[in-house]
Amino acid sequence: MVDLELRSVSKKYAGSEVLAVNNVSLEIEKGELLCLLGPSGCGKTTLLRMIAGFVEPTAGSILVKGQDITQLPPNKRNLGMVFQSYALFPHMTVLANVEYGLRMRRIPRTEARTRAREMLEMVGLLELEHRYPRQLSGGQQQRVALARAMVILPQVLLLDEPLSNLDAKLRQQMRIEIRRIQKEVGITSIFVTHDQEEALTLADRIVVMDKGEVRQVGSPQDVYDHPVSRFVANFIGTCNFLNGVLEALPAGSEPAVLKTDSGLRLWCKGVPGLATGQRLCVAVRPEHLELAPAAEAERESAPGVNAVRGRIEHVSHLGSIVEYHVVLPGGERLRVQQQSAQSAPSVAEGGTATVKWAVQSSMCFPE
Amino acid sequence: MEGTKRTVFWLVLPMLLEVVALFVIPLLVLFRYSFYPFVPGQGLVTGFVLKNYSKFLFDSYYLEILVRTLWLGFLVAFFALLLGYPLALFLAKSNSRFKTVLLILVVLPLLSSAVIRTYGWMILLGTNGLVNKLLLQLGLVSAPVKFMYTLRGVVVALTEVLLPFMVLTLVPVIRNIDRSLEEAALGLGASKLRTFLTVVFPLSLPGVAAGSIFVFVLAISSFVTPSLMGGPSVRVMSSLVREQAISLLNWPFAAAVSLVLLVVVTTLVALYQRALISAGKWEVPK
Amino acid sequence: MTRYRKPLTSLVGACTTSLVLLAIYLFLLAPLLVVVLMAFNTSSYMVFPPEGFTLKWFVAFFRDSMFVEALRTSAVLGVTSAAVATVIGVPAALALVRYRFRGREFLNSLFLAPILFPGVVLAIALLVYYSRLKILGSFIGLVLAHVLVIVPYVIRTVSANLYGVDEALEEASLNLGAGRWRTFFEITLPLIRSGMVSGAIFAFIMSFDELVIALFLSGARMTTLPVRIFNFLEYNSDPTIAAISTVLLCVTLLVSVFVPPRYLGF
Repeated sequence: MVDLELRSVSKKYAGSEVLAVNNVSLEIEKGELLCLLGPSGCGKTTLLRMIAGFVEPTAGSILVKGQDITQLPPNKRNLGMVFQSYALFPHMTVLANVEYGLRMRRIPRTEARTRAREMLEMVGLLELEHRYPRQLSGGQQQRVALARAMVILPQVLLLDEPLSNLDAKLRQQMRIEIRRIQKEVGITSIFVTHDQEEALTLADRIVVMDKGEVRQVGSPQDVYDHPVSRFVANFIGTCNFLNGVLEALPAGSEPAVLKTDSGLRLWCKGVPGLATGQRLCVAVRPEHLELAPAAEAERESAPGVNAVRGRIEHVSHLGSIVEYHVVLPGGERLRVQQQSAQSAPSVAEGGTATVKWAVQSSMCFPE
Repeated sequence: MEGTKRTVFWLVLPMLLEVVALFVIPLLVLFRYSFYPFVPGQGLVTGFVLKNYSKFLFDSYYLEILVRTLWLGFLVAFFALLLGYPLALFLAKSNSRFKTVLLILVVLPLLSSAVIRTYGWMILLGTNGLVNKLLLQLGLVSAPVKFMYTLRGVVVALTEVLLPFMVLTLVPVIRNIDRSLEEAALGLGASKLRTFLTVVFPLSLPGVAAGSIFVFVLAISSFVTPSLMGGPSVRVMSSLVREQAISLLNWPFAAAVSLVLLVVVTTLVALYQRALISAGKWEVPK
Repeated sequence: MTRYRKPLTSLVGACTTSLVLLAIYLFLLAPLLVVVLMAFNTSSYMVFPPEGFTLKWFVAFFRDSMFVEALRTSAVLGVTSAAVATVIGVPAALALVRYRFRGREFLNSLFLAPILFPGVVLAIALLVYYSRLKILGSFIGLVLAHVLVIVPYVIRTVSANLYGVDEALEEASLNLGAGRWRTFFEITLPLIRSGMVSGAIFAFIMSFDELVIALFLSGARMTTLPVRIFNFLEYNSDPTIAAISTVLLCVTLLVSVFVPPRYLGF
């Protein structure tokens, strides 16, 4: 069942030339947690604020459970929102904050109290109900904000970068916490973030946005493994990019051939609709690259596997993985990541090595 | 830092000298003066008497002046808040292109002398003035309202004179209220009016308190407007001081009266501030 | 694509808001407007709409040597006081903002106290004090008194400006080998110039418009323009006063044009 639907929603701010949100259509299933992911200024927050009713769309419509709410003022929408700054009322206690939405709905005092307490218990803050927001830590404020938004039983829960004000450790904790509560209540949620790691760990589906447009929609696995464009590949996870011209189309079992700008010849996966002479960009994730001793180079460069020789410029140990920065003869730089346990002792800073990758693991984007 | 103390000393020295020589010492002298006896026809007579204070405190004529002054301060603070709050709310919240111009229009009267603005009100509020003509033409009154030399007139003019202080105190306080708090309230189902009543207004109370205290203090110590608009029939503390000091040359009594005004100003401000700070705290609903 | 119109109710609301605001602004500006209108009006009574345009009241003002003399006194007094206030106010602001020392809070409130102090109390105190020092009615006495009440404006604007200047800039200058004085003149001073100029202008306006202290301290020989107007208005009313007021208004407006809006406050 579709809980929330956006139909060709656009927003152009007065005095601005560009569309902050350009013709976005989305459907969000009941109980789903959807992440709007993109760099700052991509329109994700504007989109969320249009759903909440704080920004009026220039065009398009927003439907909740099939009912058009585009014209409804924000206070009639029954959508819960968690703000980046939490927006806890500083002059009210934790309990009064959580009760606020219930009071506005004219729910009897005793019932409101019971429900607010239940919600506070769920977020583990019942013992702090008489404190004021300023007496709470960042993580606690975050939980109160969550409780306040959820207690009104909103049709959709909107979260606007709720974790960006927390430190790294707490952020990871709260991610799990939010996911747990969201699952427990089964509430349909939209989560705005610019942190790809957050989106990958939290979301059922990710919507990648850039310059007001939706670039890709899919499961975390999907957008990570099969990005549809160079932008998505670059924004989600890290990626090595090699630019060049298509020299030969795939023939039989042989993959296509790309000649990079520095003259390197690489096998690459064909994508439909390519023509020779077209500019391409090949992308490989660092964990799909493999390092081997320099001598192996020529032997392994068969169709299906690329092997290029390079100099190891820098080695960084990142705990469980080791990252190598390899400079190719043409000047391109590649980042290679290997499990620490598997890292070859023969490849050291300053030495040469062969970088190998399977054509199947590379991605190819026309420019 | 090495030499910090010496640097600070030289930096504040000129200002310190000015304040001590022209503020602290004169006030001490004034305090001493208020205990001198006054003998008409003679200059300074040294001595120590409490007569100047007892004369003020046990004479209903003078006490009436004190009460009138406080009542004037209350009325002016009230009306300035009534008119100033909507204006400040608009200036703090609006995204209008003309906002800067509108803000300057509030400051503009401040840059002109209170004498000129009171003169403007004398023209407007005269028996044949524009305001009375309008009131008569609209049929709101049957006879001209007397504004000149009445407390009513002083309140109207003084409210206008002090209104900018109220607005300029309120604007930054309202502007500093996080906008997402209002959005949160709306999102939780509060109407615009309830959002204002439950979020914006309570959070602006410190500003309301500060602005009202400010205007109250300025009103009870104001001199120009009550003197010109009120004349001899609306006597307030400051005009009493002037009459005693300039016309009657009774400096000891003038000193005592002015010190009473000073004490009233300071204590009221302290009490009022404390009362509002405790009232501003949001109670936990029981 | 569907496009939306504003609902009618919000239009009505906007109209009501505008009307209320218009009324408040009218109230706020009416006395000044009426004075200016009066100054150019042929009739010596306030009639609306004005009967005709004339400059005769301005001529009358400039023919009156007492008023012209008072204007001159006010201008000289304002410039002198503002200059002195700036010279002693800027170092004080510098010390209060840039240094941490014992008694800083106390000095801060002491220096700003004259703003909230009842003018009449200060005026009578200075009257008594000056008569003892036998400088009652002297120009220097008036300057010193005005300096006291206008320095707070200088300290306030310069402090606001100083808080906006990153202290690290001064530290960088010291780090690069400039001494305290060079740092002050080459880094700090240029950065707080706008605050200083605004503060000085405010100080001038406040002195130029000040009435109560001048009324108590100036003798028959030397009178400021606000005092002259005040004394005149107590017993008479004449459009000449409107003309003088308009001139006074123009002076303050012209001067305040040089103040950036962010320093406009009180």
